[in-house]
Amino acid sequence: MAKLINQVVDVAVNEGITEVLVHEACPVDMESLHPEAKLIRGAKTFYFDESFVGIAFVGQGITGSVKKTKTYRPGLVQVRFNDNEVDEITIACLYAGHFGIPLLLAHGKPSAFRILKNFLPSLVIAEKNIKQVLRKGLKNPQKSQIATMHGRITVQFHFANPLLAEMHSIFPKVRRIDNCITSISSKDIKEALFSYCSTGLLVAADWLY
Amino acid sequence: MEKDFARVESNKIQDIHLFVITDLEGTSGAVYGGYGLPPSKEGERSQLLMTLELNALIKGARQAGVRHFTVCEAHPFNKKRLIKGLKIVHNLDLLSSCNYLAFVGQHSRAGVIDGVLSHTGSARSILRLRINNIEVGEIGYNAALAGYYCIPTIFVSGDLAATEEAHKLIPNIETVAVSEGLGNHSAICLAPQKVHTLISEGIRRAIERRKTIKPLSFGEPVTFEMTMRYPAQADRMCLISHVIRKDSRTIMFSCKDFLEAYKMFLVVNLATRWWDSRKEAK
Repeated sequence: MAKLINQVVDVAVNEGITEVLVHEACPVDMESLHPEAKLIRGAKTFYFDESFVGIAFVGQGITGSVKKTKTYRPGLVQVRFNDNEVDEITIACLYAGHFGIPLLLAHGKPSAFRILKNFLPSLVIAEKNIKQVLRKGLKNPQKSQIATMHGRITVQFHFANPLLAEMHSIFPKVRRIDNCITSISSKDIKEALFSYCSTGLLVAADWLY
Repeated sequence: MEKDFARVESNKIQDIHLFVITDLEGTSGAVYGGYGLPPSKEGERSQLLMTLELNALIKGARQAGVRHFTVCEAHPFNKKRLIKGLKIVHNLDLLSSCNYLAFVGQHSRAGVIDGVLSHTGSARSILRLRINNIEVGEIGYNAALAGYYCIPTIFVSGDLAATEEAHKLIPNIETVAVSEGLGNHSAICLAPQKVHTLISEGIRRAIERRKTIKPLSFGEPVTFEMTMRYPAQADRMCLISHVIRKDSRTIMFSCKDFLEAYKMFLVVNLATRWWDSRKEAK
């Protein structure tokens, strides 16, 4: 994985990017990491602001089965934003889009981007040509795609069991829809992200199920 | 031990003996593990990164001309990757025979916001430590012990919060921040290659500027005030002579100088160790 990341960092640095933050999903071999990379380790949310030029996904789904990687935890069966199914990649993209940050590179197994494709239908997934795709994206970031979701967002959580839904309904503003489903109305994508992350706390409490 | 600051000032660089306190939790890339937790893959990775940061410090100090090192191993090193020939110790008994003190992989004190794996001594038991009304952590009390022997603490590398803590306590100290906490268990970590360069350059600068850095002293007499997680811990500590109860969780004791206070701190910590070693505390 470090090799793939280093390709991205290399291109970014050569194109004049001053800071490359690598958000780690699985442990990266730090010793091999590009010296100019900064690794975000142990993060519980995403760290974007307007200063970022773009977002790049590298090696998505290549280390395991992507069939089960829709959401953070096994206690969560499905998450929907305004009735559209979302996963981690999609939420990251939507959140980046909130700040006007485009998606410059999508690399990994095509199945990892299945849900994101519903938001970006013309999304092209890079296979071996990481450097060319990223270089092209960095040269013309305004031509790259931005995933966005404007206005209020109703976030719906489908839990693996009723107890989780019951516990979740104790959270502020959360409504129980049925046995295993809850929903919360968020004013924007930022608030929706926080609802998603705070629900992560609940499903992480595995003594509940 | 007689106080002899002139001994430090007159040293030639090749005679300098550098004492290095290593720690794990302020190493770039260490956001889990530490705290004396049982061995794990994550812990082993962090131990390797810590070892490499120590190697970088030794290399930098050697480039500056330092030949003698004593290294305090707070967490196990990766012995295969550790620079050979270092004198490794597990306490500060030999500190008094050295000239300068440096920290590598250091974390910030307990209770600091965005301090990576921040704690003071026992993460399970000590909520707060104050020395003469100044809030301190491990940097503070170890540097003050060195200060008692007139040994300046010249360098700290660790997470950003730890380096800021060092600057507040020790004017002119040279520091290198290798990570920036986003929380207690998350951080933006610099890549090891970069970190090693920064640490090597940092310790070289520290050695060059060593005479501008004064030993840390909190003045005398010395009063320690410790706030424990559980009142029962304070109950036990109060069984020790000269320990006074301040409130349900807080104990305090006063000594004529820092060495005496430090020894007392070690004794008081025995109660903490007993508590931490209980099965239900793990």
